[in-house]
Amino acid sequence: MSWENLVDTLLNVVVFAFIAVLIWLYLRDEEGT
Amino acid sequence: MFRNPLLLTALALTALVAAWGVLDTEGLATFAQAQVAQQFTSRAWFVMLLASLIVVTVIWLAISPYGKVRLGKDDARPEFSTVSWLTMLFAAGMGVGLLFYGAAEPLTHYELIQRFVEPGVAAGHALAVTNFNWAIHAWSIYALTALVIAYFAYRKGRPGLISTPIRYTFRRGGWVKVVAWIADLLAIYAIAIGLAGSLAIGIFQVQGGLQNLFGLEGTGAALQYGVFAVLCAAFLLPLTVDLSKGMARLSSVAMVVAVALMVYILLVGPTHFLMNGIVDAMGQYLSSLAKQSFSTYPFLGKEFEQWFHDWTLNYMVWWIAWAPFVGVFVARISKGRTIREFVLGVVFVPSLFSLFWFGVFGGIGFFGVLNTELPILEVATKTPEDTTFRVLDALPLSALTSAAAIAAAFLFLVTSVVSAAFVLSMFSTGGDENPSVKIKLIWGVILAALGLAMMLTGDVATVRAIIALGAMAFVFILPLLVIALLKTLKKEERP
Repeated sequence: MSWENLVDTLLNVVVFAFIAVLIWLYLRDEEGT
Repeated sequence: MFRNPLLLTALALTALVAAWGVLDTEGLATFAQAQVAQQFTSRAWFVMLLASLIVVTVIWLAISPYGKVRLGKDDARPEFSTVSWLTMLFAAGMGVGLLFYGAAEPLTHYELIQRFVEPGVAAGHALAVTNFNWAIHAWSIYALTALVIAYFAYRKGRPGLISTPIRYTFRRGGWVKVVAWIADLLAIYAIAIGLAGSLAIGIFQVQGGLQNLFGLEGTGAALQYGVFAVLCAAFLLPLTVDLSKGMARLSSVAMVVAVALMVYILLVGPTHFLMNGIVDAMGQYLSSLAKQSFSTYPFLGKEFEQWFHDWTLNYMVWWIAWAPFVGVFVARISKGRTIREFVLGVVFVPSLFSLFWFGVFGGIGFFGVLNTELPILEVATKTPEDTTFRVLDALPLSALTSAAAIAAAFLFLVTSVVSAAFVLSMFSTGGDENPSVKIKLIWGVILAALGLAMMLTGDVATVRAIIALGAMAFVFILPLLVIALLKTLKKEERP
């Protein structure tokens, strides 16, 4: 795997993780709201 | 002031970028271009998906029962009449970018597209792409940001900050404070870099206009510094006194001049050709809207991919960079409206105006390219800052119209820097609506320094790359705000 490919993969993994966090945030219960 | 870590960090960060740009312009330019190339290649799909989902969300909010929710208490009513509200929205949407790209952008797209299809077909496509970049997507991004600010400020009574929805909605976890703080910092950073970029583009435009008007060829750098110095004097002075009313009046003058230019071209130029172009481009825009909203051009080769990165993708990031700035203004004037009214006004009215604007300026450019021997296409691709003036040259009274365009560009710049210095001061002082003159002046100087750094790069493409880099991190804050809004709206009693 070339260096560029590794950076590209990492940048995209961050986005995947971010999307997962967004879904989790939307679904979780917020106490007191 | 020295006890405010957000203000100090924001000032240090922006000052650092300004210093880097002034001392090592080429270094900053190379870094920004390389970073943006990498980020755009890897994340194009995400930015495009985000922008289009924002459009869907905004329209859904308007037609859903939440459309009846008021941006204020239930008994609140709008402060401004609908006509003056729409006029103010017009003004918010106007800016130096429209003057700069009005004729240049459709022609630049045309230059690429005409290599693959007939010139007449290429012109239609080029206009439709320009409309796509400037209409519903841009205004949905602004509208959603403004909606979030207005909802939490006027309905929930919290400070009009970018971090407010995060603090209000997400109540569990130590991360909330940290993320909220970072959100404010990134918003400030994106506004400062975005505004400074527009400042540089505006300076190129005024310089191009003056060169064209007075035949000042070969005075490039000296003239640029001259324009920059006059501009700094013009915006630093109003920051020391409260001239908010005067600034609003200047901004209206600029808007009237710009609209008058558009009407002048429409009436004095080939009116039926321009009107046909506007209607035709509207059809093309609407019929290709869904497809284009998700187009990322992965199968058309490097050239198209680069073109997509340089234009559509760059714009989406640019609108996101400007969103907190425009959002604060739009939120303020929309207090008391329902979400449905708000979306109809904020998304569709300025979008319609953009379709007209590019139809007229782009249309007159195409008329020149398709029906005359004027070298407008060459000008648009090599020196885009001259395009508007070359187009005006082809019509009567060009000295007067060029002078009006230069004056409008200059006034847009002054008023946007003054407003940006205010918004930056407000954001960096926890939402203080009357920030001190000292803080406004410091922001004014930093904006000037950042503008100078961008101006020194000497080329619009590099300026756009630096803006994109400045806003890239804020791209991740916007969806958080949307989630916060949707979650809090769910708790609203069904109106």
